[in-house]
Amino acid sequence: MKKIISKISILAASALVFAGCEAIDPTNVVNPNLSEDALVGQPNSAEAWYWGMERQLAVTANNNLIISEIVSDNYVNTQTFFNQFLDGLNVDYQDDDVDDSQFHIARLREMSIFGLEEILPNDANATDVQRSEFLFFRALSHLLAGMYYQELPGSAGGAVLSREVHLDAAIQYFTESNDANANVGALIGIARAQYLKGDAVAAISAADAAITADAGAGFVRYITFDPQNSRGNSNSNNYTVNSLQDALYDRGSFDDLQPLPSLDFLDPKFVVVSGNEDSKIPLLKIEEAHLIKAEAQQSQGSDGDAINTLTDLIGLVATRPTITVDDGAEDRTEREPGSRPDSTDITVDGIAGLVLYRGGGAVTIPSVSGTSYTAADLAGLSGDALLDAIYRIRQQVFIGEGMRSVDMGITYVISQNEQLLNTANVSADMTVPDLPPFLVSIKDNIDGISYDEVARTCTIDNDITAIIVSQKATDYVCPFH
Amino acid sequence: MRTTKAVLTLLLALCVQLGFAQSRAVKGTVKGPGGEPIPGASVIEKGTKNGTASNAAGAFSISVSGSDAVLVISSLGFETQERRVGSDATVDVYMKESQETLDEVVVTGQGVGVSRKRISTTVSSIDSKELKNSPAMQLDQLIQSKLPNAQIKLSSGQPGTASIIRSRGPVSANTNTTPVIMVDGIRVDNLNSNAALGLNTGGAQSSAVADIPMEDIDRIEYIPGGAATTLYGADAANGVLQIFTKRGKAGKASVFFESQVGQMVGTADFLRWDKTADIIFQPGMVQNYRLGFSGGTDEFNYSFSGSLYQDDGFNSVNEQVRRNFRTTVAARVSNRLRYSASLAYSNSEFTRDYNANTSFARFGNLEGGSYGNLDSLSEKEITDLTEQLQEEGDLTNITERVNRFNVANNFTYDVNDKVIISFDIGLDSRNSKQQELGTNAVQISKGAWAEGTTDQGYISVSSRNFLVLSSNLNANYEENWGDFNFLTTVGGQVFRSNDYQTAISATGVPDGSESINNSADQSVQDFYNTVTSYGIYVAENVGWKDKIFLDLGLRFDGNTAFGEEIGLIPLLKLGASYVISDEKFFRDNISKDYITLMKFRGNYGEATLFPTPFANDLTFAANPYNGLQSFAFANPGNPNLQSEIAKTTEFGVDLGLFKRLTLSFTYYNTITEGALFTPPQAPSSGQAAQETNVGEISNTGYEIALGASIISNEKHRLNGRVSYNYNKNEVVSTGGAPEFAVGGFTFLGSFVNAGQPLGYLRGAQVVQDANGNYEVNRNAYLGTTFSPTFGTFGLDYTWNNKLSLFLNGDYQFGGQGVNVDDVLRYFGGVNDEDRFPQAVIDGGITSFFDLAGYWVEDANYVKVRTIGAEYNFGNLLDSRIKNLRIGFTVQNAFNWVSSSFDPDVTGSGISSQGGFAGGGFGFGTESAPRIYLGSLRVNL
Repeated sequence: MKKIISKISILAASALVFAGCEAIDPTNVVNPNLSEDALVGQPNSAEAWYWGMERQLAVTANNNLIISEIVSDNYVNTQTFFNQFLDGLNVDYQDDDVDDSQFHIARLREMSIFGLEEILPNDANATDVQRSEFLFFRALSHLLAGMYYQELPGSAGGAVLSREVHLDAAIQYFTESNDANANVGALIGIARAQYLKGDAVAAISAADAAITADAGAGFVRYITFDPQNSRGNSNSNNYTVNSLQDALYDRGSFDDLQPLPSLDFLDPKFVVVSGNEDSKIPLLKIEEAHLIKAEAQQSQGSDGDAINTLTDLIGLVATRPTITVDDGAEDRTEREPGSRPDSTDITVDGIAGLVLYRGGGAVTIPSVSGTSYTAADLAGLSGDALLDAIYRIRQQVFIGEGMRSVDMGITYVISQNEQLLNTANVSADMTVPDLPPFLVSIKDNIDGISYDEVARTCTIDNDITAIIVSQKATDYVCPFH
Repeated sequence: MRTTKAVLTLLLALCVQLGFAQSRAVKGTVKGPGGEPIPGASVIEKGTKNGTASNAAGAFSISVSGSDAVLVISSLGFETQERRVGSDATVDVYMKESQETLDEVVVTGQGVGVSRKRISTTVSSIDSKELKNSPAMQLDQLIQSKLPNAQIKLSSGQPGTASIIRSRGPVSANTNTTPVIMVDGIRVDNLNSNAALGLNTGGAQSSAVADIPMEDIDRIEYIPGGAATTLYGADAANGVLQIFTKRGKAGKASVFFESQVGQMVGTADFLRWDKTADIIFQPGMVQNYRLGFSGGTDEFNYSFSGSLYQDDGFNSVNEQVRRNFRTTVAARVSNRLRYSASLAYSNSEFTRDYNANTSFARFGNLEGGSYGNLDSLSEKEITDLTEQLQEEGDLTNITERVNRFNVANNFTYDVNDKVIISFDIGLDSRNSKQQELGTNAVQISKGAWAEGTTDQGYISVSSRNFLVLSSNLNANYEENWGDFNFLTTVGGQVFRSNDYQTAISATGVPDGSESINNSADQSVQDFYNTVTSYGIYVAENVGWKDKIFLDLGLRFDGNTAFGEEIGLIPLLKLGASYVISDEKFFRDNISKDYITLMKFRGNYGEATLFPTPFANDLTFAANPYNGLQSFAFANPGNPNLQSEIAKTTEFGVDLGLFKRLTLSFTYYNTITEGALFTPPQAPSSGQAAQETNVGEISNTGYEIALGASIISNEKHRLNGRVSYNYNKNEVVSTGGAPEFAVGGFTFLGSFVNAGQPLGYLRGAQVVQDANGNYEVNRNAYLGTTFSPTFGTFGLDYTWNNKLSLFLNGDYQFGGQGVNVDDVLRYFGGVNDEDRFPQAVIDGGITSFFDLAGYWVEDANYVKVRTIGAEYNFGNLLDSRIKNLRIGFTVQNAFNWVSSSFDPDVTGSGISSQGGFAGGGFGFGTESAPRIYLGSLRVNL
């Protein structure tokens, strides 16, 4: 009898355990992240995908703006772990930062394509505005490729396209974006692409279209960051801190990037707004239409028209907001006080008023556009002198926006990772940089200065703007010439 | 699902065989050749895990299955004895001194206690006597320099920080080299790096290894990966470290009390400026009190041990408190069923300073030259700086609290004299909370914000709840057939770990608040990671005349982290050992006076490391973005993702010479096939890197361990040991993937590329061309962070069984590291003199990117980790005090290094949770402090 009870007990226990196994399967693990089905086909997925692209824009900017500012004469990288190869104009296909730059340009494109082809058609609530935005980002990706690269693949693991082809693609998608929903940003984008292609007539037309569409509203499209929800370190795909702001201002106890003394009054352009908000960075602004138009006019010999256009621009810049900030902690510099111009009585290349004194309380800095030029400064300028003024104003207006390196004719190369993983399309010669020889010859001193603390004078060792103008006939700079 | 059921069916099929039968109690005493009692001797019932240890008087008590039971009595330095119990109620054993360790019984790698003789691999062990000599509070510190074939490097002197534990070189680019760690057969959290959402306060990496409950450890066994890991599967390619705790003994209850009191001082050996120590180091008190008792009957025994530890750190910021206890019980449920359990709790709380990769780091800023050359500062400037940093320290508020429970249950059922079923089930639950109060005041004090700032205060909180449940069921069958002896093991194993993490960040926190509720804004992230690993195995150990042994095993491994195309992975083990010195022909020709032992062994085995959970899935992310939902690509997915498999072939010989020396030599060759790499995708894809089985890694080397009885007579006993290990590590193939970084910095990183060691140092190197001109060779090989040569050494002297003096240490040669502190000093113009040839600087090469190679130094060292003395007063007050011991130890006593930084403290290279850790970057972090401790131990 005992045996029977024992056997029954074992059977019952076994049955219970087996039943329990069904309920508590130890191999049942649930990935908490989203599958493709959780996005594609869901209502309002296009809206969330759009914000995903805005967020990606912030990440793309982080991976392009800092290196662009460092490689230019705008900023010298003094003491940090930001890229120093590029500061000395060493463009290297093995440089991780160069790889990151093109990765994030491509990611913006791939996200916009996925949005256009998978998200939009399957979202019942999708709108033309969203379609316009997706096209805008696709165009922007091609525009960035055309700005920073001589050539770059135009699709995932795909063929390498020349900058002209990228710029044409940018124009096409900006146009489609504007057609889907009229937006000034797309028009400025077209103007920039036409400018880079060197088509003065088309550029004026596009610039005028943008200015007309803006109708004096002072259009700015910003890159918006989110420090509160940033994740990972600065090369993470989820790093949404404004890392240029970090380099210019936040790291109070580090002297990261130091501006060219002639631009001192424009730094730091980006500062902490509040504990959970970073400064926005202008992506496209109407000033550019004026500058492109003025340069095109100048190239066509219409110096007077160009001056008028620049005068409009100066008037516009004067209306732009400023920020007042206590920059005393960082000063210029914190680590080696007195090593760089740090007071208002110091002249830079003989010009006074370009350097601020940061030790005496808050300073006021333009947050969108600023220039030291007045309408009076432009009076009577012509030819190269006018072109020189245009490029100095461009440098001032676009500081921190990743444009100066483009003005200097600097482009990066296809990275080693792309070469190794896209062998069918990338040949070795595409990984060799094509840099302006007039910069290569001075590459170790592109942002060098000579400062006499006692005499209160500072001299810029190499006047890059003057060099740009003197080299206007080369293919590297001044596209209209 | 089908495989799960198969595993569970097997487990159940084995379980339901349970029944009950006879058992009996045996008492005895273990004595040395001179009749002196041998405490701590291991007494194990042969073929089982049933065991105990002799007490201070050499006495033991054990319940055995019956008259046929055989007791295996072993103790280091003595020949192992086997005694059949028969009808005796008392078994007194006289041990003979031995230079052989072959007969020592080990559990690791086999599931039941077997003599070393039978197994074809190496198992290192640390016995309770050696453990007693070390006052270490962390497991990694405890085993440092005590295992002949493992190297342990602590990454920081800050409390609760990670270590690099390695033996045969890195077999994976995906995970670090930390072995599986088990306490009484149950897996515990062995995360030896910052958690995914861990607090980032510079370079200090928190570690779960640092707070494994340390009470009542009886012995530690370690197998260095490869062929010995068939039973453990899943993630055992880095080896298995098994901790066994003490059990109570039958008889009168015994009580012990132990106190340790001493001082902790910052190690100034590696400082650039002695003044750094003057400015921020402050000696701190260390105290530790431990109380325990144990006792029981033949049917039931118990043991309890608890401790309270506190230290004031070696600077004004660090403080640490640890509270531990462990209770063990063992009971004879029936004549055939035995049950034992251990329950441990540990609590640790400590405060940490900012460290390394943050501009807030006090130590890092001093040593990184932020304040210039400290030697050139005036007395007043030093005083002001000291006050300034004291204020910064006073305002620093980084805390970490850990609560941890280990539970281990073991059921052993004697089906009959030949079949034993053993079942382990238990868990490790670890909850940690890290908190940083970044007040406006602390940030202002550090120069981050202007005086008067009130809106920049923040609080960061990281919590991690980790639970691992594991169970292991095996049946052992021992059979003799003529000259053959068969030991068959069939079993299954399953473990599941859940890792839940949250990181909360509050900004705009007004000073005075320690709650995130008082803030302008808050954000939160979570991390969820769960994985189940399961496997079934069969192992066969065949002995012939107790001289030749064959060791065979087959395991099928499954894991939820595998891609959907992957099923069970078969893993094979084949081994053999031959004790030639037991052969008659050998003895006829070679006297035992010359060669006491000669054993040859060889084997082939496969062990794995499983992929990162969820890395197999294609996923998207919905990221928070200024209060909006924002979608993005996340993980590309890989349906073919599976474990990387380390296939090891090893050969070795164990020798006993002149009755005084033991020598062990092992050659191994491990090839990691399908190594898990996460190389970048083509940038034009815009897609994140995907974990994939594309690599191949090779580790070849040899291990030599020498033990010597230098003096051995009635009064004096002096033993020494030294080991020498050589490892050559190379990435054989990246499977066409481009080189990728696994740590380090942009200017000088730790990379993976074919033809180079894993995580080799890559950066620019200045070279001279044919004309003598200097040029920069970018992305050059600059060194390897895993030193190819390493080893440990120790000396132990005993006088009259009363006074003992001991010393242990370790060394490494052939590796490199980067002095990142001097890179920072270069920024401030106070870098080490002669760091670069002047001609290079004069030649215009001044960027630290271009000069990177000059900061790479040989990282050789010899370190004496522990040195100490203990006096045993023996019986006092008419045996009312059974034993009184007084001792003194110095930890981290002496260092000889080739580098200008501490080669141990190079952990800044650890990149992700549990990820590859090659170290190699000396960066703004204090070395482990020097600790002077006096101790008193009383047994009642």
